[in-house]
Parts: sequence; C-alpha cells; structure tokens
Amino acid sequence: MTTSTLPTKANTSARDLRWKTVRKQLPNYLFVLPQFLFFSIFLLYPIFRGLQISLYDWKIMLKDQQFVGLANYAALLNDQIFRETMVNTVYFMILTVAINIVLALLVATGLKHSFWGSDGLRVLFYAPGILSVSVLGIIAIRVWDTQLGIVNYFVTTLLNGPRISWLGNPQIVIPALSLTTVWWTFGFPMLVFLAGLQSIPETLYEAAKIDGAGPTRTFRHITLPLIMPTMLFVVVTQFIAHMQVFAQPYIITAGGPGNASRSVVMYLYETAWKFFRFGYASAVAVVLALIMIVVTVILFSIMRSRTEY
Amino acid sequence: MRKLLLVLSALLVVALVLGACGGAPAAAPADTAAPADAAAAPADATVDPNAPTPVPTPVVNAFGTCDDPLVLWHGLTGTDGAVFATLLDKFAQENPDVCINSEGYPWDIFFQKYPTAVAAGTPPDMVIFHAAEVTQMASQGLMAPMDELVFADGTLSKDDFNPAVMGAITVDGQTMAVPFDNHGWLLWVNTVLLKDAGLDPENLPKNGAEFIEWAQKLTTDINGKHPTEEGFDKDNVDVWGIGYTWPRYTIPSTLWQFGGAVTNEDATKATLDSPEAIAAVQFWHDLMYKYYVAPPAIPGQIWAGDLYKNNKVAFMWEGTWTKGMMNDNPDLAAITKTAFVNSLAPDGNQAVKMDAHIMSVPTGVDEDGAAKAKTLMAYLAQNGAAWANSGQVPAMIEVQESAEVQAIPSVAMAAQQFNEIGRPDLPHKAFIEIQTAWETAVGNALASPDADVAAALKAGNEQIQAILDRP
Repeated sequence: MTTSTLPTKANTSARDLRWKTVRKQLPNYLFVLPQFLFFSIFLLYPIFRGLQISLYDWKIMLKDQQFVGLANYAALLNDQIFRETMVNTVYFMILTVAINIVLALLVATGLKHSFWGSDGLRVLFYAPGILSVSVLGIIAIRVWDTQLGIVNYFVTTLLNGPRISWLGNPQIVIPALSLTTVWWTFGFPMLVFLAGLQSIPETLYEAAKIDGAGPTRTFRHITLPLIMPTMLFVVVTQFIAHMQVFAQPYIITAGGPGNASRSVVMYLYETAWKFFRFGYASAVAVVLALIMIVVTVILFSIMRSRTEY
Repeated sequence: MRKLLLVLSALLVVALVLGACGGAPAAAPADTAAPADAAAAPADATVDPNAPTPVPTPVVNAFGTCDDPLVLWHGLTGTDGAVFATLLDKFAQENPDVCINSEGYPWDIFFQKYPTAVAAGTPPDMVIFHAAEVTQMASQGLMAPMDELVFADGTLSKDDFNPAVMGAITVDGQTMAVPFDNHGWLLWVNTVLLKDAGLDPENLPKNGAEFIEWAQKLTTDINGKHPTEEGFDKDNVDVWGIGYTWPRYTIPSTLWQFGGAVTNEDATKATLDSPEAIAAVQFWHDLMYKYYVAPPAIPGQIWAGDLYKNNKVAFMWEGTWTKGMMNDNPDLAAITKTAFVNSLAPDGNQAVKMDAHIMSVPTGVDEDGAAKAKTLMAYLAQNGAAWANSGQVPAMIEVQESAEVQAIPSVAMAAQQFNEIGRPDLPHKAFIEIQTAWETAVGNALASPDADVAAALKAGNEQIQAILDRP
C-alpha cells in the first residue's frame, strides 16, 4: 500500500483561503500591534515577573536569587497580619460597596427627571470625586478629629454626646474610613445609574401606571430588572476598586490603631518597600489577584442569570 | 449580547489581574509611622500666632558650580534641613572643587528611591539616613563599606565616635557608615508650670512613683482640679503632666529603664511579653487611663509639641531636634529646661534611646563619586559644631566637647545623656519589620482604657519571634 504525500487540490485551496484571510486581517493586527507592544512590556511582563518573583526570596541587589518554590505562599497561610488585613479589606469593601450602591441608586432615582437645580445637584454630588486622595485624607482627618473635628462638634453640642475617637477605636475606624470613601466615590456609580435609568423607555412606566402599579412595584418589576446590566457593571467595578483600598488608611490612620485599619494592599506595600521582602509581597499580590478573579467570576455568574436585556 | 458580556467579563478579569499584580501606588504621602525627625507634628497642630513664618526647606539645593556635582540624598527636610543647607553652603565655599546637589526627601520616599536607584545602577554619590537602618540596608547589598575609604588612611578614627553608635553601624565586622550626629530623646521641662505647682525644676523626680506624684500635681482640668481631687473632669484636661510622644523612642527608653527589651541581646528570642516589658508599657497605660496625667495614645490627639508650646504640658520627652522649635519660640525657650529623660522605673534605673544620622556611599558609586563623598563626610563630621545649631549632637566626641557646642544647653545636655545612658536599637536585617511589629503591639496595648496590655504584647511577641526565626 502506498500513501501519497502530495497535497490534494482541496488542501491547497484551503491553505489559500487561510492565507487570504490572514492577508485580509493583517491591517487589523498591525493597528493593534503598537498597543499590544506597550501592553506586553508594561503590563504583561510585570505580571509574569511578579509571579516569578513570588517564588523567590528576592533581594534587590542579588544576581542569583534564592528559589524558595511555594514557601512564600505557605508562609501566607500562617501569617496573622495577612489574615487581619484581608478581613479588614473585605469588611471595608462590603460596607463601601453596599452603601455606595444603595446611596447612588437612590440619588440617581431622585435626579432622573430634570427639575430646577437638578443639574447643579448632579455636579455637587459628583464633585468630591475630583479631589485627590491626599486632599481627601486631610479633609477626613479634620472631620473625624476627636478634639476639633466637625463630627464630634455636632455630637457633643447638638446631641450632648461624648467625644468619640472615630479613628482611634478599632471597632469604628473602618466604618469611618468607609463613609469617607463613600462621600468621595459615590458620584461615579450615581452617574452610571443615572445613565442606566434614563435608558429605560418611559412607555414602560406609563403602562405600569395605567395597570395600577405603585412606585415600589414599578421599581421592583421594571426599574430593577432593567438596570441589572448597569448594576452588574457597578458592583464589579466597585468591588475591584475597593478591594484595592490603600491610600485612605495609609494617609488617614496609617493602618491603626494597631492593625485595625490596615488593608491588604497597604500590607503589600509595606512588605515590599519597608521590609524589602519583594518575594513575599509578590505572593500577597498574586493571592489577592486570585481572590478577586474568583469573586468577580462568581459575581458575574450570579448577576448575569438575573440580567434582562 | 451574551458574547458582549463574555468579552466584557474577560476584559474585567484582565483589568483585575493587572490591578492586583501592579502593586500599590508608587508615591504616597508621609508615613505617620516614620515622620521626618524635625517635623513630626500631626495635621491638627495648633499654630502659635506669634511664631515667625517658617521658611520651607528646598527639596533640591545646589551648592557650588561644576559639571559633575556630588549627588547627596537625605531625609533632613524639617527645621534641621535649613541648618544642614548652611553647612553645605559653607563646605562649597571652602571646597570650590566639589559642588553638591543636595536632595531631601521624606524618609519613606527616600527608602523607596534608594534601593531602586542602586538596582538600576544610578545611585546618588552619598546618602544620609539612620544608624538603626544600616544593618537592614547593608544586608540588602545597598551600602559600600567605609573602612577602606575613610578609616584605613586615618581621615577619621573610629575611636572618635560613640562606641554604641559604631557598634550599630558595624555589619559582619565592616563599618558601613560614618556617624554625622547623635540624636534621640531629651526631657524638655516647662519650668513655669512646675513652679506654679510648687515643684522645684532643679530637683526632678527620680523614679516611677515620684514621677506619678509630680504628674498628678501638674495635671489640671479646665476647673483647675487635679486627678486626685473629687470631681476631676478627665475628658476636659487643661494641663497634662507629661505628653505621650513618638513611641519609637518613648517605648524603647521605658522598656530599658524597666530592664526589658524587644528582643534578647543576640536577637534570637523575642522578649516583648516579658514581665519587665509588660510593666513598662503598663506604666504608660496607667499614666493615660488610671492616673489621667498623660493624653491617651489615640489618633486625633494634639501633638505634645503644640501642647508644650501653649503651656499645656509640663514634661515632654521629645527629640533633640526640638531645639528648632525653641529657636522659633524664644519666649518658650526662656522658660524651658532640658534634662535626662525621667526614669519611670520603680528603682530609678535610667536609659534613653538614641540614634544617629549616618553618612555612607551606596553600592555602585564610581571612584570619583566616592572620593567626593569622602571629602564631604570628613568635613561634616569635623564641622559638626555648626550642625549643633539644629539641636542634634555632633557625632565626634571631640566636637561635642568644644566650647561652641557646650554653649548650647540642650545639645550639651543631650551629649552628656547619650554618652552616659544612651542606647541605640539592636541591629537586625529585618529591623524595620520588627519595629513595625512592636509599634503595632504597643499601639494596641495603649489604644483604650480596656486594652489588655499583656495580651497585646504577647501577640506582638509572636510576630517578632516569627521574624527572628526566619533564615
């Protein structure tokens, strides 16, 4: 029995077709190429380098680094501070995301229809978001100050209450930071919700009104289902942003009292740049990324199933 | 739509990975755990309306003119920075062949820039930081030894400096730096408040029990009542007996006075939960929450320096650099007396934490840069008398004993104190991590009246032991 190695006519034409497709698509790839180059050099490479460094006891000036395998990850399992900072971060994230979403949705619902001053209010609510985090930190220190802060001024003078150490009490420091962050960041989800609400056809509300639906039922059966794609976007982006909280505790409380407000990213920063344990800090970054990826995928799968388009 | 959602999901996942692996923002504002030595005031500092307008220290200063300046990085950005600038200016005038680019950074920024610059092969020619951090920096390969460059040819002699400081900057038998000054805690006493309370500023308390008695006599609420009197309003204290200041210096000083320490002498065993260490931290807890003679150690309290400026605190343990504040407030200086920090121990045992600004050459500096750095290091060490105007104690013993330095009362007192009872931190390759661990533990221990001091120190001790156990 003999077999032929010569290409058949069908094979040749298939190859020609593929080549033709490639030639047709080539300009697209060329257009993407510059961005992909920068993306690879400045983002993909550092990610893989970070993964690599997490497997070493990395000292910045050594030429031959000591490979430690998964030892950094094993150490993380027994790291009490990492656990504390992860709990702090998750607590902060849940509080901030929840308050942000509820508040942003409420305000967006109120500002959906134009009325006298509504444009001004939209600007006003969004305005804190343009502040730098350093300015936010200075404002927050003043606001929450035990002796001279405006919050305690009202607590002691109007409510006749005691001076509260908002930033010095381990039980309330994270809610204080969370409220500060909500004030700073809720303008963005508000705007996104506003856009989502305005894209819902008014005819649906009119039909509901004719059918006798009240505001609650209208919100539950029309507004909520139809803004689920927006909600998905807001929840996921807010989750990602607030899991990486760094500057607010760094500036306002320095992570204290004790470790009560230290976040994972703050711990990561200190591990790398104060303790010079770059391998361990990279392991912290990788674990944080994995946790965020898993939670994001779960959020997507839960919320996608409830999304209507 | 489903495809679009999938694409969006993929994009978000990628963004997530990038965000998390990208690490923290590169630049961050001043770390409250490591304030600039002479500028440790918190944001809520009260401003004295009569104080002269402060002149900010430029971040980058050029001294002299040439094509290839010596690049110097340091963290002297407080009031001491202005004195340092005059010293460099004098050097440039006396050494026209060497010009300087002096770049001052907040310490946290300094410690980010320094290792990355060395790793990138673009280090400054000379750096100034603290003796306490030398072992950590040297163990990372960031410092060149100074034996050959400075000490072997007799330019400077190791015997001219405080032996404890020399020990702190010696790593594996090599001297990694040249001391520039000695600095640390000193007692600043408001003599008017003492006299008003009927106490003699020339005969200060000598042990913990006496100190509590004095502090109770000095502390008054807004109604003029003392903590020992019925109806004392602890929430509205007007004058405090003592201000609780930077724990980085206050706590080691107290631990040593009580016979405790963070670790044992060879840094193999954490001892933060020893009975002596617990007693030392408990003493401060009692001063705050039992005797009400010190403000509680919680965020939002007015900085002791500002209380002191306004005659609201009688005893203040603060840095030698507080002389800068005194220079700006001559009326305050006139009623201030300096002394050894109080002994809070039951037996009157004395100890105080000291540190030193040190000068060194980073790894990778070429011969020309090192030679220029050597010239400047020798000049700064030998001309420390001018530096004493900042309040810091010149490093060379001979300079300390000069008439010019002895004429500055706070510096003369600090020099005597450091030479008699001064102790630097125990060097360790993970020094900053150990320091962060005990500072956090002490912060927890002093955070509230209900805080369990022993439990907080035990938790900190476990963390420190884990650091010490690492290979």
